[in-house]
Amino acid sequence: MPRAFKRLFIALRPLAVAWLVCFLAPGCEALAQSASVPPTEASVRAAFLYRFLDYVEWDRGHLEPGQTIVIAVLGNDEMLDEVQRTIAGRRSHEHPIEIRKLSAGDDLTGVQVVYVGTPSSAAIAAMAKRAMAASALLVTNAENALALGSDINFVETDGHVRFEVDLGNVERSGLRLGSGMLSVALRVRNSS
Amino acid sequence: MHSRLERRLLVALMSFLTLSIPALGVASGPVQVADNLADMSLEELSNLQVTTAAKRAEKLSDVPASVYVITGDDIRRSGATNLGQALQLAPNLEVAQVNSENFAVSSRGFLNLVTNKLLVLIDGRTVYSPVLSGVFWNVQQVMLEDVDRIEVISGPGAALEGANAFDGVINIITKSAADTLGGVAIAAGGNNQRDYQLRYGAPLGDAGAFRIYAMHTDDFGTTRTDGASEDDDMRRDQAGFRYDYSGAAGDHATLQGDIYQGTIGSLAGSVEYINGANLLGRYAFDLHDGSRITLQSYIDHAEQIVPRGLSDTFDVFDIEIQDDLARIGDHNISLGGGYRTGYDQTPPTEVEHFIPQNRTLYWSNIFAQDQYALTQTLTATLGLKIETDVYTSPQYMPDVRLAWKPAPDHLLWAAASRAVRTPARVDRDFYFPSQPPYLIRGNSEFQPETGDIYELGYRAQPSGRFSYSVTAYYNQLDNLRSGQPSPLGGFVIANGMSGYGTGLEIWGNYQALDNLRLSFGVDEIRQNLHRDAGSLDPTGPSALGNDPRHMVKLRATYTISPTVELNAAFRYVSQLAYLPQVPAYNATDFNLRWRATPKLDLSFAVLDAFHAQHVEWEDSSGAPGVIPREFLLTARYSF
Repeated sequence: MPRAFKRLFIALRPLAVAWLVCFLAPGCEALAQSASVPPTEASVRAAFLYRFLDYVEWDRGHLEPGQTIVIAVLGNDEMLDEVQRTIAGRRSHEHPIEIRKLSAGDDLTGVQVVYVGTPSSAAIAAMAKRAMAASALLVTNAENALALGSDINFVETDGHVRFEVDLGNVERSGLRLGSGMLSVALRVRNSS
Repeated sequence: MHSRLERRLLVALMSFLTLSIPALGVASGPVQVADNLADMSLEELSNLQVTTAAKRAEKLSDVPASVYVITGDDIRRSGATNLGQALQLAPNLEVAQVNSENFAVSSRGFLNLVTNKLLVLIDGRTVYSPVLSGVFWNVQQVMLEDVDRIEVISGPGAALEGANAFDGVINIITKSAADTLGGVAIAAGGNNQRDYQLRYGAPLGDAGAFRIYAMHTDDFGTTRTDGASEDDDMRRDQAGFRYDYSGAAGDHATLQGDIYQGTIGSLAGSVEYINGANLLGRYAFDLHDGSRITLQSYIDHAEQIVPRGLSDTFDVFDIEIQDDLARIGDHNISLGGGYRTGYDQTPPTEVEHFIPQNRTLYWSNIFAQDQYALTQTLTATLGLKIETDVYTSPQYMPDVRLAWKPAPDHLLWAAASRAVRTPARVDRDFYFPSQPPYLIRGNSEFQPETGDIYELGYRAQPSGRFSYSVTAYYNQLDNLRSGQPSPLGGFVIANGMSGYGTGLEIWGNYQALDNLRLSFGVDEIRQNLHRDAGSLDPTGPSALGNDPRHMVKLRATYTISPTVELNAAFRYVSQLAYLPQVPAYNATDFNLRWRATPKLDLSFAVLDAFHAQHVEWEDSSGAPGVIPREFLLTARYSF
């Protein structure tokens, strides 16, 4: 991106701010800085994604002992970056973890977790079918996603990231979830 | 033809200007790389307080203003094929379909053909005609498939936007190019229109993505109650692109543009032409001190040639900057400013002319806003916008809002604001007819219309399945546009009406079953306007707009199976208050969507299923256009 432009701007900014402040509210310039910055929603979701691995059981055939767990991220580059930043290089017990960018038509063979970062219900519904067939855990971030076939869906409530679970979808995917996870979930439903 | 002529005149006479530069809708907290998040337990993660990537957009539930968000999914479920139909989904908007291609859209009163005190932005670019101060809804179009959401704020420019619009702000926001990868082809056909749309998006470089689109629309046109043609058949082509770049440091750049052309009334004696193009760039980045800068600039060319109405060519350049400072103690401060200049050319037509014929216009503004957390649950938002233009002295628009959040899912808010509608060329430079003796003259002394607006609102989500919002408002309105007999003959435009408007906006959502979602909305509008003492205005308040007193909107989305979904929408609009009176009407729309294969969606829509036709708006011609029952079959293929 135009770095020179950015530098120029940074250089000129005190002038611009001073101009605005003087124009609008003379004398309110003593501005302190606040130190603590809360984490972003995306980074907390990425951490959740990693923590979920502790509670999911795949059938043999879909995850052998010691096999790499593949997390495929669809749709949102920001989320992919965040997942990579948070999880890359970590292991889940004896399993190494690989993070992969997923495109809509990609094969899901050998993928254990699919994260759909877009709120598009068409994308979620299409992916739900395929994830179910491939016994992959589908994690989403969209209103009404459980009804579209998602297993775990992130919900933002009052500045907190929470998640909801559909055990019916989980079961149809041939997966099992540990009860420790269900007790933390915001909602657990069991669709038939 | 006659109706079109008169309609265009009405357009010219009754248009109002609300000019302001919006606060940019993008603001983001600084990105923090938290190495240890992944070591936290699920419970610890659940309890973490977070900032959102798009702070303002995602926290609309906390905004102390009357905000309704139409999501992209809502639009696609509804079967809407143009912006006017999409806006009908908002319970806090009055939308009257005028004919097959045009709509009157307003908020909190003053519904008119070119309505008036409502600011409209498409991806941060104002689409107000700053000459006639209104939005031509038959000119504005976007590819609805790629709309992310439409934020409808009723009331004066909400605290988030800065004090800018009078009665409301509509923000039409399209998706980032990163969220529209791949191809989509849409073909739709029915008894009243034919549409083709094509879009393709792909990654570009390591951190960028682009999309290009093209669309063709063919509206067949409607008839009037007397059986004559409304001369509203419209053919229109539009194409455009969008590029988005997201850098690792949280910087985000967007470059987008559109180009369009169209003809209206090709079967009529006088064809109308429209064409235009625009190019917008936006760059947002974080500074080391935790504040975020957003810069935006655009150029826009819009031309319409209406031989028996009003012809106009407007070229505009706009630049804006916003600085969201890092939080300082209990204060969240935003500062910004903008400058816009344009050259407006209004060649005389058969019915009017402007003196001077061409004019350079400019606007500049600065604004500041402080969101001050008084206590844990009580937040005050103080905003001020100062704007100058070519016609008037600087206008001050202060805005004070208080929000009390007694519990996480409850918000009680109150606001007091000053809103201003500044003079436009149609107030100052307009003359009718095209030759003397003039019946209507612009007034170089015309002053801004003003409103002192008080609002009280409550929003709650008592359960995971039910949420609602209630807002009441009182508008003290002064210096409204009117006419006054001129010593030179005819009438001269003047500030000669005032009064007040009150109303109530209620809406809610209820997830009745896991696969059944219900929404409702009620909008009550009362305008009490009168001529000022000494005013000899010939028409009175009816010239300012014609509103229903009651509106009710109901919507249901029923997911029948994972591949089949039914959407039903009902709206009732009571009789319009003034002459010409449009009787009360109701319309019920259905849209059935079937995902035939993962790549192919088919949908079938019936609009106004239970009536052969109805009328939503009447101009002064005595024979309004009728909106017929409409069938539409749509195929959407993704690749």
